[in-house]
Amino acid sequence: MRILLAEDDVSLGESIESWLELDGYVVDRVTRGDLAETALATHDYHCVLIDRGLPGLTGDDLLRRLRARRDTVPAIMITARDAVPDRIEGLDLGADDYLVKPFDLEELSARIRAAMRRRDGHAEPALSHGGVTLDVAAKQVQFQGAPVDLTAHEFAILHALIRRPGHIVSRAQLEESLYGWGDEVESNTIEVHIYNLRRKLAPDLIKTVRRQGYRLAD
Amino acid sequence: MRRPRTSRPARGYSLRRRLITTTLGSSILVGLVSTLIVLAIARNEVNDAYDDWLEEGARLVLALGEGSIGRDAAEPRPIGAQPALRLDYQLVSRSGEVLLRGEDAPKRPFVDPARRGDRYYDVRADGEDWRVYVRHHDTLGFSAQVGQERDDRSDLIWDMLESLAWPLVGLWVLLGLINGILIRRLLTPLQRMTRGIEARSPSDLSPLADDSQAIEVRSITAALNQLLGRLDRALEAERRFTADAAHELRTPLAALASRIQVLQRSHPADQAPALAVQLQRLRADMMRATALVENLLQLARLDPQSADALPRERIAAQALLQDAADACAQAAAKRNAVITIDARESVLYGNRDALYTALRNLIHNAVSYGRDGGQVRIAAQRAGQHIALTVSDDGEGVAPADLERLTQRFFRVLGTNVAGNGLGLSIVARVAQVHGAELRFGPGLNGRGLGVTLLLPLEGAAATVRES
Repeated sequence: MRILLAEDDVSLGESIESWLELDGYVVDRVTRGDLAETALATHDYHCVLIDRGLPGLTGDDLLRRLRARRDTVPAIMITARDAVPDRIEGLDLGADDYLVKPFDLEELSARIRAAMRRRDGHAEPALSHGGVTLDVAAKQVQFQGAPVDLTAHEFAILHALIRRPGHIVSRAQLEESLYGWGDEVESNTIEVHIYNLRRKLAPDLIKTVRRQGYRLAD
Repeated sequence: MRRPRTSRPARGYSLRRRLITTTLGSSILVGLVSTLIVLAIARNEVNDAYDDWLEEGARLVLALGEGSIGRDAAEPRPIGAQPALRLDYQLVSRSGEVLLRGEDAPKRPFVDPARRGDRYYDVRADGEDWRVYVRHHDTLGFSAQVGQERDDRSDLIWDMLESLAWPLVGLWVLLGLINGILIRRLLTPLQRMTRGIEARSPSDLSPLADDSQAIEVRSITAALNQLLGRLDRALEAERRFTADAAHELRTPLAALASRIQVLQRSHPADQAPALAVQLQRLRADMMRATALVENLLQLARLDPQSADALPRERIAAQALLQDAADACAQAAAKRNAVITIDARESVLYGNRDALYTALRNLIHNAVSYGRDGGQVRIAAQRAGQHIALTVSDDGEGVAPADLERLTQRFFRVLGTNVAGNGLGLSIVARVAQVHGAELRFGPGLNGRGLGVTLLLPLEGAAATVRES
């Protein structure tokens, strides 16, 4: 899962980045609104965290443009402005959630999970399909009731596939959810992880769609 | 720098009354002076006229005297028919003997006949002051002395004064009336301004309406508006500073809190127990700093100057009390305190966030300063035109000396060993203030502890009751 973090306070940004990486997300961090817009235009993100007071392009404008483009990526606003009218304004701009500084990072994680869950159309915290249950918060995967031990990358790929079962996820999209900027991408990593997932779960659980990518079996 | 005047003059005066007395007083003074001048001129003129009469009389007497010397004095007729023009004459021989005289004329000559020359004399005879003209006969040697009592002359002046006085007094009364009415009318813009200022709400620092045509009133209005503007800007600056400072502190606080959390996660308690304890303490300190900043922001936001802008609504009492109690449930559980809710009134009217914060602070205080395993009771009940929100505990209570200082910012009762920043009750007091509510401290439960009551005006009453 790849998250864009647009926060102009470097120290706070670093901490959030470290925290989300411990959560198993891939985090791209920018300190300017215009850079965030470029990143959003060129990459697929599963969630965006936007500080309202960004230089270059304000968080409000960034969100406005994002929604004007009909980009439905879950967006959580992070701000020091906590008055009720500010919250209402932020949510009406198209934010999925609104977090007031200083916030608890556990809460941030929970809200990110909730925002992504809602975007995928799930209400329940755990995702299930074809006997596989994936609990994002607990980072646990069960197959037919038995816990399965997955690496962080395997978990991320399974998460990307199980979010919208039946939909094809491209190789590039999977890579995006595994690697942040500057990370070395090995050419056959995705294949290796898919192979391992098939081995640990079920051989026919993940279908390969030629030239397009992968999807979960129905 | 001018020395600022710290106190008003002890006794004020009415500008209107003073204007009337000064205009009237000066007109009376001017009237008196001009009357005196008129009288002085009149007196001179009268004197000149009478002197001419005397001279003329003397000539006549001399002419009459020529024919009557040596004869018995005939019944003389006073010269001048009017009583005010009574002249008295003497015919005096060269040796000083009065040959002939008028009825009221003194028996002795007015003037010693040895004195030569036809002229006027001011003499005293028979206890009266006289004005006398002496004329000598060129050949026969006797002289005619015609005198007039000074008093007769003064009487004329007094008559004149008397006839002048009444119209003058009448004019003064008329002047006083006209001045009174005009001055009262001219000063109405000032009264209007006073009423306008008095009718304002304490938080209204908007400029005064400049509707008077008078330059003086306009300049007062302009000066007042300048002052109001400066005051408004100063208050606004202070508000903004508190809000900005608290606001700007949030991001670094968030950075600090986040870093601590990342550290806690990367050094779990089972791997580095000593570090975990320190990190937990660090986090608690962090939360205290955060709470302080939040409280400062709340205080800034609840500024009475902007109380009018605070949105008010009907609030379900039970839910509000329950929410506030829930917010303190963790703290209560830690101290084994039992919170009971008794909402006898169903609807409150006010700002929900503000009332929630106030109740939460009160409950938090009751739990923190109450006793272990104690009781905390939250009640909402009708009290006349108010709804009384009461939070009571059965703890140690507060010493009477400390009671009135409770709502001061940063005041904390010493020796309680409870963490806090002393802003909680200030916020409650501010919430009460912006709601036009009264904050009362009394005994708590079962005759012990502290009971804090917020007397919230009913809906409708809240609109007219503002902070005092």
